[in-house]
Amino acid sequence: MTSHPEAAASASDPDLVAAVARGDERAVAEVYRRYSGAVWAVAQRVCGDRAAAEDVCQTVFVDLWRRPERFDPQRGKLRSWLVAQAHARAVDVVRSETARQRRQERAARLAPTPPPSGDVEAASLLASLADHVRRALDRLAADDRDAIVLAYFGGHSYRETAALLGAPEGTVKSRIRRGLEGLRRLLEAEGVTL
Amino acid sequence: MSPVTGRQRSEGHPLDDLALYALDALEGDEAEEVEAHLAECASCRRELAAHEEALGALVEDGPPPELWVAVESEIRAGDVAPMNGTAVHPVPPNVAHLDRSAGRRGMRRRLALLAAAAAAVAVVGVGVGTQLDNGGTGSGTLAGVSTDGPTVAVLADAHGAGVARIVANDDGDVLVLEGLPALSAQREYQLWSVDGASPQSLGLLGDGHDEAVPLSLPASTAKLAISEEPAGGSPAPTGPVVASGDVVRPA
Repeated sequence: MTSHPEAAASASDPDLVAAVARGDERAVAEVYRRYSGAVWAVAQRVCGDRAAAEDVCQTVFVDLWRRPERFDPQRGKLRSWLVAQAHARAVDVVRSETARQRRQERAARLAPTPPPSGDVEAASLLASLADHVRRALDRLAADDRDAIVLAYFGGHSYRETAALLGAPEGTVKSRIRRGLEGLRRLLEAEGVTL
Repeated sequence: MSPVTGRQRSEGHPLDDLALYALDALEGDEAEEVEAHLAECASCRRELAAHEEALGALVEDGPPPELWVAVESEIRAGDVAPMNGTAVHPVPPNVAHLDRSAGRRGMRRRLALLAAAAAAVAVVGVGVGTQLDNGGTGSGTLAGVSTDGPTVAVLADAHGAGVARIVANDDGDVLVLEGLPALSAQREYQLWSVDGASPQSLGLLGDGHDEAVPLSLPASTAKLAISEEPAGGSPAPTGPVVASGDVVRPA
């Protein structure tokens, strides 16, 4: 990275991160310009809460500034890495929140297990997605798609996903893997652009 | 990895769990088991990256959220670029609650650290380009030490703010500290000459309270850096560089 502001705009992602590691604030600003939209999108979807999503988004970029060495350009693209970081943090937020709610509910009443409501939640999550993303997911088997959507966008663990769908955990594991591999094939082999 | 079942594996690779891990859908110990495997298995690391690529494609690119000001203020709030890839940074208070279960992502961090570990310790160009104060002449005394004389070096933090300077006065050089962040009792600032391949210690600076420290810089010293170290100092820099700058002697 040189001292010319326009250099950041044309730098490759790995060069940008290297510049971040040298303490170049303009480089973080450029990474932010490129990928904060995606980071924000995943954080907001999973958290379902603006303030929490803002926290997640902010943390992801501050973290990049503080620990740029965590990104390994050999392993993957900066965008998908940042999205994965945001997703993990958003899930942390959601899990600690649902765990708290669950404890409160248990304390408040002894309730029978609620009926599986995964279909409804999956449908509503799907409806909230951009058209092209929904179309891609719709090319998966419905069971696989619902498991992926509940786990990824709903922020549910596979156990929660299994409970929501009223399906055995092992089955849900298989569905998630199959669905994910299906998505990869759509992207890689068939050249589908999501 | 527990021998229990339900976990479909292919030739020892926990492929079901790896997919769940990519979605952050595992719980506690299960994620750690996958991380332990990832640490040793390059092919699963590639698989994970490919999973993440596909999942990333499910996320649309929106316009940048209007959070940059908050991010910027946080990265300017006293944190600095690491001197090397292993520097430990404090967790900012307002995100500490998000780091509670950071162990789940511990391996992603550790893997990246391994990749970075090959990098030699090098003092990076923190705050380069800071101008000297026009060779200006300071005046006054601080803690009984005269700070009169021309400024021959300004040490700036990562964002170009001067936090220390060297004044050449009649009795020798004086390092004037003026704005280093306060440190805990277990930490101490250390001054280094960073001209050669390995930084040479020029002395300990205490906790960074504003003060004037008399010292005599070797005439050959052209680049200086201040790092944060464990109390008592280090033989070589280990902590983050908090300031650096060039010595420019008047002709």
